[in-house]
Amino acid sequence: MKINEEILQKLSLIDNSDFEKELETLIKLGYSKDEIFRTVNSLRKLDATGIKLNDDYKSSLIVKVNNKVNKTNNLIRLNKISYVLYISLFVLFSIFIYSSIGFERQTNNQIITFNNNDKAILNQLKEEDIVKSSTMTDLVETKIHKSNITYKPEERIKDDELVAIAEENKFALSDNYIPGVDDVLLYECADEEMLKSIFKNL
Amino acid sequence: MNEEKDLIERAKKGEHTAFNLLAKKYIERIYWHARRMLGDHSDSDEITQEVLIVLYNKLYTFNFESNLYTWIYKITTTRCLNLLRKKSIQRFFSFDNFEDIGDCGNFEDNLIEDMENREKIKQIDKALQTLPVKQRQVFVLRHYDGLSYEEIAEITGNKVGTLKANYFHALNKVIERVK
Repeated sequence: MKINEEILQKLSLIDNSDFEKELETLIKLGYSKDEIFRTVNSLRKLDATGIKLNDDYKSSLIVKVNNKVNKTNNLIRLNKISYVLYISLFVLFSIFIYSSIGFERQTNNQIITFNNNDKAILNQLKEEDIVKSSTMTDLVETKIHKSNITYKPEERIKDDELVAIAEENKFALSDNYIPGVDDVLLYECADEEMLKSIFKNL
Repeated sequence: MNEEKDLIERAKKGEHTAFNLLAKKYIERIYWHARRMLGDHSDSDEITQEVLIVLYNKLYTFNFESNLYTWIYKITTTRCLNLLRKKSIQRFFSFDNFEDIGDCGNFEDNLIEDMENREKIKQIDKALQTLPVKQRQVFVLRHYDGLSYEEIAEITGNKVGTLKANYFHALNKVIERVK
């Protein structure tokens, strides 16, 4: 009679002390003694209860695990530090960018401070001739070097009239008056009203 | 049991000594379970270390709803199955011969001092490696680790009936091989 599932399981979990008793029961049930012995023998070959690991090996495994855990913890700590550094750098960079923009604005506000006279001059300039610029220097340079300023013939002041205006306002010219250069400047700005206001402001 | 609970609580708080005591308590079970599943010392060594590291890192999630050893077996079984799957893929794409499983030479001599037991382990390794993975898993958990079918069901996620059938088939096959 072949040993069935239930008996096999019972035999696999049986203790040595219970074996004699179980053997008798199984023989009474009709199982072959040889078959039971062969099965039990095989099961004993599979028994591993007496096999233990060497203590040194176990300790070395625990040491390895501890080392790995510590290494991982250090890495996690380093990662945290690097994250904090990255965030700090980002914040510093943001502050730097923001302050740079703020400084630019502040500087521009300081540069562009027109008084009423400046406004009057600017109003007299034709709007299409003004290239939008952020500084007074730019405005002046644009005005001087702009070659596409066109005037109607009747608006253009004649040389002798220009000389007369200059003579009339000689007192207003600075000590740095450079003959030729400043005349050209005056000539380029050849608009009577404008010239008068320039001299007035000098 | 209370002593173990105390150890777990202390280890959860980051006490290294408590963790080491827990590791010492379970290291043998983890190693032998992995060894019977994988049939190879170096793999079992690696898996034991991995499981202990997982235990260290995830112990704070353990809420005493099950036994710690069930939890540890669950981690070990999963790791072993993953490694076996990985190895079967490697074997499929490799030209190397993977037949010599379980022969670790001199290193194993240091691991188990008793010569007779060393031979026995080789025999068991060989017999177990012939079983399909699912049958081997149930057989090892039931026969060697002494777990109940309910506990094995919790670990593997299979039904008790399936586990019983797998165990019976595995036991029959192993007995035939070692006769």
